[in-house]
Amino acid sequence: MIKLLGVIVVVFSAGFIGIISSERLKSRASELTLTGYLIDEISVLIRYKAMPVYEISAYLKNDKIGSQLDFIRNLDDDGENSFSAAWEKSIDASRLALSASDKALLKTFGSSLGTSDIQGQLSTLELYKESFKKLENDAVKIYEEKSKLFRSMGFLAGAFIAVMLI
Amino acid sequence: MGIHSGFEQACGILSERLCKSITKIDKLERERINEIRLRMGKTVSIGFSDGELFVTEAGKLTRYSGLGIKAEKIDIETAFQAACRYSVHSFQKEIAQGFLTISGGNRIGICGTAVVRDGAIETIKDISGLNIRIAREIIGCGIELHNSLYSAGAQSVLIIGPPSSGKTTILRDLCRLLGQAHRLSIIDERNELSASSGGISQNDIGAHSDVFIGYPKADGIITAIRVMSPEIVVCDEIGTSNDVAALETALHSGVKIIATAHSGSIEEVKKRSGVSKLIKAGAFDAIVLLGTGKQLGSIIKIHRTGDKND
Repeated sequence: MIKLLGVIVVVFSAGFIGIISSERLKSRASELTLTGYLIDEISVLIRYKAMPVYEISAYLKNDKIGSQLDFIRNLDDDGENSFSAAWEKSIDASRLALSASDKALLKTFGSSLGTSDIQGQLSTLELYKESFKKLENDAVKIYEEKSKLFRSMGFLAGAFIAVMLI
Repeated sequence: MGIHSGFEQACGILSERLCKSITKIDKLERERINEIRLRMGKTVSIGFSDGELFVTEAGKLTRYSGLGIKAEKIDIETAFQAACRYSVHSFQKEIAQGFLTISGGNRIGICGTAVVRDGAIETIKDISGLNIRIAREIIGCGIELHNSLYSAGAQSVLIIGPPSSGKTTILRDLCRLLGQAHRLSIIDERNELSASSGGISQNDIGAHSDVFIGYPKADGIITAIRVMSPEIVVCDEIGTSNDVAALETALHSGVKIIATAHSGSIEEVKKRSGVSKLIKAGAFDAIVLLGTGKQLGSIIKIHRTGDKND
């Protein structure tokens, strides 16, 4: 009886790890999609309102898209310190499904905000939007290819370990 | 007189290294500081009403530039970014005009390479120097002028003086005093008079005062007359033909004017195109000349425009 319970626990634990890994792929893709929307919103705020970066961050926190992103919610917006430092700190402190290279790109994106005139900002935002779109496409492709694999691999690995234990 | 220094706000935009040294300057000296000048690769200089000195890393003032701390590129970039509230795109117009106003009403003069398009300065690149002018709200500095000119009612006055003679400081206190009894419209293009933040004036500019911030002076004057029916319109540093035309409109509307202009003497201002036109038209009841250097902020002469020798 105890053996049977142990087997069930092992199978489901491994299966759960598989599901988590698969969900992480999904979250990464969705965070990249949201980042793309975020860049669109920032473009509008800069183009039509020339809004300072700290006001942008305060606006995004209460916004439908920004409020879904952990690093925007955590962003320190007192305006006292360098915005790029606050942005970087917030990314480091947030629980994001993004990969290390995604985060590095997101950090350089933050450090470019507010450093040039409107035209320069819009060109920069366009460039980053394209980069994030590519990452998003890759993330969606990886998710489609590997999500089922991760789930079934989890359960199969669990079953394999259970058989080995028996 | 109470002095509320903008020194802390000015230090707030400096890099940590420079801020540490400058805030070590003796308190009495600190209260006299008018300017902090950062020049790329050169020693940081501190401006007083009677000259400039350099500051050492330990916060000592010296006449020898070799002993002072140098402003590096990163120091200038840090101060510039902080002055722009890390949002260069939000201050394009100000940058093109060559200055920014930060909290406390401090003005940051920008020196660099102009980017010109269609004959107009679009922006400034390769910033090589910054001049941080410390704004001071000196409560009471306008009382003498107020008592001399306004005991009999509202008048139109032109306050003149060389750069750094305290025109804006006196004008600010005059707003505070006149704003207690008259409806004032203050055209504060550079946000130096009210030092407003989020729509709230940080300086006392009077209970009956309305402030138009960021408006080009001419547009601000016309808008104020249309929408606020002021008794007195106040504006700092007039000079362009647009300013003069707008002030003429104000005069014809029965509104009194208080304005300032750069000039070393009353004779000089009468020769300046634009302002002289207003003087000849009888726009001002009095011209007030302020001193500089050791006579900083003091009234050298009050010239009634109706004087015989006019």
